[in-house]
Amino acid sequence: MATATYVPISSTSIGSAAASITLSSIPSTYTDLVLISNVGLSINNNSLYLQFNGDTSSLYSITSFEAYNSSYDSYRLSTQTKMAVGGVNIGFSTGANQFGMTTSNIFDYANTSVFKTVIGRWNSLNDAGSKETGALTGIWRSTAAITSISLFSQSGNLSANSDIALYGIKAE
Amino acid sequence: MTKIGSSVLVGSGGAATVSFTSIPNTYTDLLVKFSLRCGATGTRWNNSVVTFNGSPATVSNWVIGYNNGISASNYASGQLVFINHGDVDANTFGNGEMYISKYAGSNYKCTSSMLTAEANSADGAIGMVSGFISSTSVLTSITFTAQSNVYTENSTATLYGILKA
Repeated sequence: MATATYVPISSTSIGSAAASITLSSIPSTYTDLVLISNVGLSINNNSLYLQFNGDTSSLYSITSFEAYNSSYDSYRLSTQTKMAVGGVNIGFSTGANQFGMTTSNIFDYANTSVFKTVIGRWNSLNDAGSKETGALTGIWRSTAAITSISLFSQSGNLSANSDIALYGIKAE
Repeated sequence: MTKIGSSVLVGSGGAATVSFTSIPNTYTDLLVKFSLRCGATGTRWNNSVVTFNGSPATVSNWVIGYNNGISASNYASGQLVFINHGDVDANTFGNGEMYISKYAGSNYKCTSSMLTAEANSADGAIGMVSGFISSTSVLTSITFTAQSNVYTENSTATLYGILKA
């Protein structure tokens, strides 16, 4: 039997600038999740973050590497209160119609015996400013099943028409 | 995720391009999976240039790990570039995927790609490329063009559509 992949679970878009976007009531019936976001940020030199289940405790960490124009680096952040999923300047620009993009693969999200791992990458190019691409692995050190995901900016708002979509992947 | 049309399979004699045309606008995002090898002589590596709707009006930023080194760069006014094999190593192909978000919207489009090129005898590379397409038009075609020579037999590419809830 073919494996069900990228099965649409839910999506949402904001019609006006907002502090965050949340997808809730995520069913536990899949094996993994894929979260796709297209977002703009209202303030430069910013990053995009997520939290699971509204958890603001220091259970998040990431390791990331990225290219920023012709430079590259890697870094690690541990015991964070949120997980960065998009790099500096994602979706920020002076032009219209320009958004950054992130893809986040969330593994074994409903398994209450394991911490939750994320592998993702992001695109924060625009036609006016810096050009950056990056990848990350993150962990949420909680065994709770993920039932909601919130995306928000380090500071400022998400721009109007930012949206996120969630897909399920089910092992047969 | 739904396969769109037929996979492209390059036959004997090769092909200068690998293309998807008449892409329907009924999905949210697109995903291209590819396995490409070019016939450039005397080289292990080669690049592909990707154009959308026949236009190279894109910029890209990439980072590539090559053996024990790493490098990064922009293409400020040009194309998205991918790595694939030349003729040095038999039976090796450059593999990867390119995710294209909101390809049918009135926004500018983003792409995100992961690439590999592992040689049979020596050398390996892994790359990540972000692309920005400064067009508000619906993307109806995607074309991969070998930077030199042609794609060789058994090169393949498949296009998928992803529809959000």
